[in-house]
Amino acid sequence: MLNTRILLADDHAVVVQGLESLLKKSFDLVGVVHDGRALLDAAEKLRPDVIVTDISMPELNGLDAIREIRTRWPGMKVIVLTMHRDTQLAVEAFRAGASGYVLKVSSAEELIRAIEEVAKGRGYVTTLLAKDLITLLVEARSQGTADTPLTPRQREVLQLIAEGRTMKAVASILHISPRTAESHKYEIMNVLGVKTTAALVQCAIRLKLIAE
Amino acid sequence: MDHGSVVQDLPTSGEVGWARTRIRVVLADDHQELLDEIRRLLVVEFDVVCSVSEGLALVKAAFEWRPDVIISDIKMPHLSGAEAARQILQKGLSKAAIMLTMYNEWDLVRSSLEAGILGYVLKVDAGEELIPAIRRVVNGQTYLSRRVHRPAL
Amino acid sequence: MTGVSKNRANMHNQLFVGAGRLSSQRWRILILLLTVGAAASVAAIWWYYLRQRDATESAVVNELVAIADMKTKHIANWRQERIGDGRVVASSSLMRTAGRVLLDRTVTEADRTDILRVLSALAQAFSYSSATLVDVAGNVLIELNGDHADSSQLRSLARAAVQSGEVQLSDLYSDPRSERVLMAVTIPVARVGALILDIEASRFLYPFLESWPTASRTAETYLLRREGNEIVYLSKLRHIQETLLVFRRPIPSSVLPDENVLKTGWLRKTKDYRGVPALIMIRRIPDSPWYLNAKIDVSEVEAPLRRLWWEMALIFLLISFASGGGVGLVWRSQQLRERIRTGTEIQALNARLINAQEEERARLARELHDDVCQQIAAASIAMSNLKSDISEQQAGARAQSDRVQQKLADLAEGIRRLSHELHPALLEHAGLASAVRGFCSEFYEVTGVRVALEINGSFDDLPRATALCIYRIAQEALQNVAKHAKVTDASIQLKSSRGIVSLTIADCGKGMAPDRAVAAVGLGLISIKERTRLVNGTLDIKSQPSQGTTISVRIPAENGTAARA
Repeated sequence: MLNTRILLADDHAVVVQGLESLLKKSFDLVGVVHDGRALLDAAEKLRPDVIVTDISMPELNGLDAIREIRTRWPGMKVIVLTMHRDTQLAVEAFRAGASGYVLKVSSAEELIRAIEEVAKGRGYVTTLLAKDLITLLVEARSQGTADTPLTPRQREVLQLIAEGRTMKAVASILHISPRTAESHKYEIMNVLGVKTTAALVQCAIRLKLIAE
Repeated sequence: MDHGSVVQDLPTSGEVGWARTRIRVVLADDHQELLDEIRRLLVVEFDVVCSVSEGLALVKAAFEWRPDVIISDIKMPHLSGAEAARQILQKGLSKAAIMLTMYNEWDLVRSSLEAGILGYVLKVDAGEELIPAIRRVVNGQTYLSRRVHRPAL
Repeated sequence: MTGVSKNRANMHNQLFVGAGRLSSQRWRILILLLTVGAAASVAAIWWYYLRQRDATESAVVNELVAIADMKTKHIANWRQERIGDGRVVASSSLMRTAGRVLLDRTVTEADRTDILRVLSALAQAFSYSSATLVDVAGNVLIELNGDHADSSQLRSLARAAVQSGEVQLSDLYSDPRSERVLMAVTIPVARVGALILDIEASRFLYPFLESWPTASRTAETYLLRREGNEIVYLSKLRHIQETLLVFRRPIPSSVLPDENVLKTGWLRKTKDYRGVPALIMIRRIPDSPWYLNAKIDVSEVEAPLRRLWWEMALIFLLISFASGGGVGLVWRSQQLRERIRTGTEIQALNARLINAQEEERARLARELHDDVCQQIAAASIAMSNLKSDISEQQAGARAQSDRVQQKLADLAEGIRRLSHELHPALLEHAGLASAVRGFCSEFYEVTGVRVALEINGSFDDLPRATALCIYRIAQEALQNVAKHAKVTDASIQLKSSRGIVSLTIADCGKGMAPDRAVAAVGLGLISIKERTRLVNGTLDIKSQPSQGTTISVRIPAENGTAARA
């Protein structure tokens, strides 16, 4: 195990300090970086076996970084170490190609265990979320359908549309391209199963986005 | 009438006196040439004491000369001859009046007669008819030119 | 005389020239304005139509693009999710159990229960229609549902997954046994087998493709892939039944753009698979062999435009009618005004002419009467004077002077009568009644026609011009009697009462046809008509052949003015 090369990525100085000494004991800590871009550079240079990374770091979206890494170096495994105790996020991370999901509140033993499992080619999800991956997957799925079907962005778009703005206005207010705005609109209509803008407004009222 | 008085009234013809004075006439017409011819016509038999060429002067002359007859055109400046004659007759400044005119209109004839004007002679016939006219009106008789239009029946 | 007539001629010219120039100029300006207005509105309508057309087209295009966008992203996402699902499973503890089962080639009941539990949860959560654990040969060790693909298919799927070592998403294929369209998520288990999860296209993919956010008559989305030179349609087509995976068509010969364009979407207006013109948007679904087509018939796009076109045409027609009507109305009123003006001008001119005529006549009459006659009278008197100078003996000379005097007298009389005909001076001196009386008696003298005169009322307040008009009318009427009626008697009735002067001239002579009477043809009657009109009077002519003629004129005493300058 001592030969397992670990690359650590986190922008929290305190966390890094804490982890460094821990990881050095059990593995070969080859590098520490503090943002997404540096992470990619280090991955390329240092070719670690396992990357332990936070998701929310500057410069590069954590999930995109994971996808990038998994595409370029399929043998490299990634463990997500995060504050977010979020089933959906965990599922997203795994879908992006992560092999492990550990919470920062977890014990040190758990992280070490995760690294060991992942290095063997298996997956690890923190016991604080679920016992195994598939359960996680299924749980995430059932949670997803219980919520209101619209994403926060979609709710924004729906509200603006129901207020009577044109798609151009919606796009400029949300700082997205008109095409994206339109696409959101149709997605919403699809999800909600409505066929006209009028019905869309009705839904908005029902969802309490605007007053009657 | 006092034959012996020194002051003599104006005699008229027909009044028997020791001398037959000529009939005194005042002429009025605004056409000078005509006036001259008429005077030339009358001067043999009558005494043309004065000739004027407008209405007001006619009245003044009548006042001054007390003629026997005034002979006047109808249309004259300032005062029409007819009007002047009427005034003169009313005031008794002359014995008789004759209208001497171009106008051959019965209405004018009638209004003259109504005003006491006994004579109405057309200028074209003046050569033949004026003198007989004077003689008749002096006697208080009317004289109308032969040519004058009588009214239709 | 020349002075007066020159004046008249000038007035004449000024009147006509001035009026003509004014009206035609205004007319031209009006036509210009209306034409410009109509052209401007046509241009505005056309411009509006073009803008609307562009707006409609771009709106539809936007919609198409956005829907294609959304669906592409969604489908790509969905694929990624399935692969993601597979990866999660690949990392889960299920793999350990599955691997052991495959290696041992035996399935204990415990194993079976365990695995099936997990698989069933998965299948339920993600709508997999079946899950199968197979070895590389395609033999089924554990199956969740019986209705999975046949063994040859399973074998090829397993082999492909094991070879690549990665979770794989198969393309759509048709299951011959059940005639369903399936996709498979294949998760390799070590190197010995695979876990195959079946997705029915009709669970999510097809319904998603078939949905269209707005109500549309002809719009649809469908999937296709390229196989060599052919297009294979992967989903249901709206307008043709029974196409699933069966319908193929050679790629149309039109130029295909490169992949970059297809990545972001390629929009074109072309004939679709039915041969109907349509607006088609093609997008490549990333990380897949699929292409998404979103299309809408051109006829549906243009339908609102067609209506707009009709509306525009209607508006244009309305505008043309309105402006045409406007022009027509203006023209009509212009014509009318012209006619009225001309009529008024003619009347005014007439009045002027008559007045000028009367003035000249009066002047002439005056000159003749006052000047010439007097002179002749004077000459006649002079002749008398001359005669008195000729002695009685010169009878011949006396006779001659008599003759000359007579001639002069006749001449004077003739001229006096002429002057009187020209202008009755008596009118000013003695009034209308006297003048008429005088005329009648003279008329009798000249023509032998006796005129019975009846005069009632006072005419002293009558304006001079009106009195002259009445006199002239009577004069004309009597002269007509003398000329045409062929009678020896006529009558005139002149009455003035309650502000109306009425003059009636009647005879029992030849008469004339009634329509001629009404039309008042004949110079004399025209003159009477004109003069009557001049003094605001009314004229009535009654006549029957052989029954005589009656001319009645009624004139208001107060506001009758002959001259309207």
